Amino acid sequence: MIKFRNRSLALAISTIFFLILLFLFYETFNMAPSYLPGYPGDSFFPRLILIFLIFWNVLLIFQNLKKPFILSSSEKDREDFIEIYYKEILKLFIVSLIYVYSIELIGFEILTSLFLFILLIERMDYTFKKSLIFSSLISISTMFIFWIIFIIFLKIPFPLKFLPSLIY
Amino acid sequence: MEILFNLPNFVLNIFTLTTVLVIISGVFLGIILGALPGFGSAQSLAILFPLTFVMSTSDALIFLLAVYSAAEYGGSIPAILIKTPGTPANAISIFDGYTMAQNGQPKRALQVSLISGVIGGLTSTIIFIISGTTLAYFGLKFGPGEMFALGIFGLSIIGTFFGKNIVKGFFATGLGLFLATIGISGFGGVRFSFNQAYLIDGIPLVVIVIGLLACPEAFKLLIESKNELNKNEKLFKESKNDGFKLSQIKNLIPTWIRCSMLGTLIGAIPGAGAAIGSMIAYSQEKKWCKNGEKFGTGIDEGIAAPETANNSVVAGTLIPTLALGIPGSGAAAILIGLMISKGVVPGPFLFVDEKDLISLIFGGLIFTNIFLLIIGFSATNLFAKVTKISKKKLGCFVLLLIIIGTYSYSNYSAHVVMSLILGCLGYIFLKINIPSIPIVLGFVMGPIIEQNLNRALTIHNGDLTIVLFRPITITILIFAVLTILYGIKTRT
Repeated sequence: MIKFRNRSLALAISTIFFLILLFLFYETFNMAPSYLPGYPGDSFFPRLILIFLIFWNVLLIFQNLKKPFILSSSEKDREDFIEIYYKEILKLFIVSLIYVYSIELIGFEILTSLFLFILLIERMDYTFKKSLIFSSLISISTMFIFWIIFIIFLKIPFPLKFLPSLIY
Repeated sequence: MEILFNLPNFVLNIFTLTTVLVIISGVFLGIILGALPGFGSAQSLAILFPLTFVMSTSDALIFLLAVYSAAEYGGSIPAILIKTPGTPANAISIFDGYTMAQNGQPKRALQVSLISGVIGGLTSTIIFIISGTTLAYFGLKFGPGEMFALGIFGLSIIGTFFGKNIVKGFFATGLGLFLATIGISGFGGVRFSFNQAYLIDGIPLVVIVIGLLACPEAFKLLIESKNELNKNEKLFKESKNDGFKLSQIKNLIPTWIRCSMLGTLIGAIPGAGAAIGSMIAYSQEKKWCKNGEKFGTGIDEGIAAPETANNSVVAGTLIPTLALGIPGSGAAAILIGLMISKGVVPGPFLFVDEKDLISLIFGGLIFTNIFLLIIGFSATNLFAKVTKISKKKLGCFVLLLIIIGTYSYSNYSAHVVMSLILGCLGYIFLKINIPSIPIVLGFVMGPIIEQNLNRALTIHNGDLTIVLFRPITITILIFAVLTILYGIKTRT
């Protein structure tokens, strides 16, 4: 977990966005010109939006400088510290990525049960043995419920290994 | 009016087994999701959006409307029982609802909330069909230039009034508009794809909705669930005199009438939403009601006012959403997105070309409220238990649902990755108070605004001044500027 001052994080985010927006604005010059009379071209609307966005982004940067001088709102929490649980988010992100990219290989049934089991086991308030049993049971039964809803009822072609898809 | 005259036939058509099942499941899921603290109506719709992929347009719309209406009521359950509002709109119900529950009448508080919500929903549905048709009639006289200006006006309200900070509100709106420009332009060109195949078709709405509305909540549930309710804590303090009696209905009629009108009106203003509706209804009813001085001590009127208003907002929001194509809230943006994905174009022509669909929405809303009353009454104890669900465990299922839901859109892994990236961004935005709903609203309105602007420019040979200085267009744009100036003056 990292602690940031609300204002500092907002400043960092808005500065990163500012650089990205400038790059995107530059990108609009590579877009196709207009071939239709009257049509302003593919780049016209994105440029309008990016100018609009850069304008508010600059205000956001100024608002989060040490002495806010423009459109400073009544937010009293800008000096508060906020906690970003980056390790936990990264872990969830990676576990989710593994799920998505291995579903073809391992199959919906095993992977869904495994995914839920991994998430549940560390969130159970029981002894290790009890947590292991409960997590396994809940994961497997949830997988069956999701199989019924998404594959049998909604007929979504998930990669299956042993359960029938019954899609016709 | 024709829609109203044809209504009995459509109402009979609605009573197919599928539609009834769709409404019942929508109401059931809506109450449960609404009752989960942190899950607003927009988040509930976001999570359940994937279930509509295989439904017909009418069933999908009715399903989401049922979820939307039920979630607004569901949010009052934790507000009344554990002083934690399920949706921001229910926060005000704590004053009288929680106090009444603490005074030994939790069931009465829940029943007043339910009946008021249903009355609000039914009244605003009738107002919606009359005013929606009228607004669409005026909308039909608008050209693309005027529709473009209306879109800008909608954005000005969204940017100004969503969130605590006007700068962050407009930044978020702009971000949504930008995200909508990614992919094929409509005139053959491809924008901001950086030669990546997954960006050529643009970002699907489901990815935006799930990524920005549902994912950050899932992360929050999984990571920050320290303040969980004690499992052994009792939700109900049993009392003999608990429960709302039919004889008490007449006392609440004036409150229901006033707050339904107010809620519908506020719902019709893009960006205002249920939270503002219930807050204004509560403060106004405190002045209008003869028991005004007792507000906050746990009286029926104190629960009825905000709950009537926040359910009235649902149909109120549909007025600009369907008649003009301007979504009034995050939930309405999802509804518009659903319609577009099913090939239905929201706007004034909807009331001319899709009369059956409008009647179906009308009938669907009526039945949703009737089922809400039945289900809400019969399963009060069950829904009350939802407030005791462990958040950290619930987060696991929500995350799985998010991944499976996004993946089911087109069985494309890249969409899930996009959702997760947007989810991380949304989580950080949540921390620094950048609202996510304007991003979704901007994303939905972006293509509508761009199409109308391009059409107007093509008609007028690319002369922007002719487009902007037409009498109605300039008037609407002046209103947009005045809205922003008002926001700057009052909110900074």
